Order: sequence, then C-alpha cells, then structure tokens
Amino acid sequence: MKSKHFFITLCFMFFLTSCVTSNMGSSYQRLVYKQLDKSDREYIFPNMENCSSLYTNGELSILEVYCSQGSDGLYIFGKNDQTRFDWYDEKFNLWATSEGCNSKDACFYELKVDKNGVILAFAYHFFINLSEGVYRVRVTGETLKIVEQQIIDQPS
Amino acid sequence: MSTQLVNPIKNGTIRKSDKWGEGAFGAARGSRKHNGLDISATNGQDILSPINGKVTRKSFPYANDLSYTGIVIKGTGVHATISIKIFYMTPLASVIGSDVIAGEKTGIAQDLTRKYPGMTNHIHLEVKKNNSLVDPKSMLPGII
Repeated sequence: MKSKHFFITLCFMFFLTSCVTSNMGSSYQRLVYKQLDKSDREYIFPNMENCSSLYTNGELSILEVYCSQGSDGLYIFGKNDQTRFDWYDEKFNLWATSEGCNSKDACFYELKVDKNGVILAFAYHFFINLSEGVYRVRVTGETLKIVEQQIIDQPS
Repeated sequence: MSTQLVNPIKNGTIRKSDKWGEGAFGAARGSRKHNGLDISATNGQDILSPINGKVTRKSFPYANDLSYTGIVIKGTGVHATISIKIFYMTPLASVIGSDVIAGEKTGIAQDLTRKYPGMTNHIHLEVKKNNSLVDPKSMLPGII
C-alpha cells in the first residue's frame, strides 16, 4: 500500500515538474511604442515612415505597416530573423492603425518567446478612441491565429 | 490672449450626471479618466466646427460598432496648434477633406440612447493643443 502511495506521489510530482519546465522554456517581453527615427533604418521602408508604427524591446520589435500597399501587415523582428504576417483581423487592424492609439503608452505588445528566440505568441493591448481591449494571437510559422479577443466599447 | 473655440453645439451645455457618468473632462470612466468634454445635443442637431481647419478624415470611436462616427479636424491659421476629434455625429459628406471655418456646420448629432439607454444625448469633444490633451472647457468661454 505504501509503495502504491509513493508511486502515485512520484507520478504527480513528475506531472507538476513537466508543467513547470514547459513554461520555463519561454518568457514574455513587453514591447512599447517607439517613435521611428533615422537610427531605425532596418525598420523603415522607403517612404513608409508616416504609415508605420514601431514597438520594440531590445532585439525584439514589431512593426505595423499600413500604407495601403501590398506590403501592409505586421512585421515581427526576432533576434536573427524577420517575418511578415498578414493582418490577424483586417477590419480591426485597419480601424486601429487609421485611428491611432490615444497616447504613446495606450497600446503595447507582449511577445511570448521560447528559449531559442522563437516567437510563439503575442498579445496586443490597446486603448483607441473609446474602445479598449486585448487580442491574443498564436504565431505558427508564417500565420497568425487569434486565440482570444476582448473589446470593450466605453461610453464617452 | 488664449485661443478660443466655437461651441460645436449652439448654446450647448456640458452633459450633467446621468446613470452612465458625467461629461466633464477628467470625469471617472471606470479605471480611466474622460479624455474629452461631453456637450448635450439632441439627435439630429447641427454640429459646428470649433476651429478654422481642415477635416482630415471621418473617425470611428468604436472598433466593433461602426454605426457611430465622428470627424478629425486639424487646425489652421490661429488654430494651427490645435487638433480636434468630435464623436457621435454624422459628418456631411462634403466636409471630409475640406477646409472649414469656426462655426461652420460639419454634420449632425447621432442618437446615443440607442446604445446607452438612459444616457443624456451628447457629442464627445476631444482637443489637443501641441499634441497634448487639454480640457476643452478652458477654451470655451461661458460654457456651463
């Protein structure tokens, strides 16, 4: 009987350890808005500085491009790579980029990155005009999938 | 002399307290503060431009409800440092992209009670001076 209890306890501890270590391999990074300037050459596409917004933290960056051209979308810059994604919710993204955030700290991203620097997911927090909320998006290869969406229309 | 605005509602007054809140700049909005000034308006009432400027675009206050609209005005001349957003109004099609002068009609007020029953119908006026939010009341002499 004692050995059965010991075995169950061991299994439970193994299960808990697995859960913890799977999360330990990733971390969250908060990316904040940064006014584009000449030092951001790697992010600025020709003639697009007035229709791009940059969010950054160290070597990680997200660039929103909304120039009504074929290059529009979300660019995620990792430590060693850059990937362009189509909008994850085109109607929302076009509204958000055309209206603009209420202040420079009213919108930000949180990136979930694994220990190898691979971007697994992001959350976009926003307060734009009278709406606020968050989109949580999973990054798989070159596609984005919304996993959660919360939008609250605040009365004026 | 400080720059003044024209009241976008003729003889309009600041929205008093109702079950949804009150209209003053800085009034409580849950965990946030009110970014603008609410001026009472009846559904369909004329909305005037508070400044000389250009109506740069139609604006949408809500991500999920595009039936409510507004305008963005960039000031010119004596109002060059000012930009304005007005929400809960239907703009005249002719004003989008056009120059307007202070006091010129830009659209009509919408019905807010459809979305927020019991709320005093109003427009939301947001003013930035040199890119910083200011209390519109300080630029609207005599408004009560």
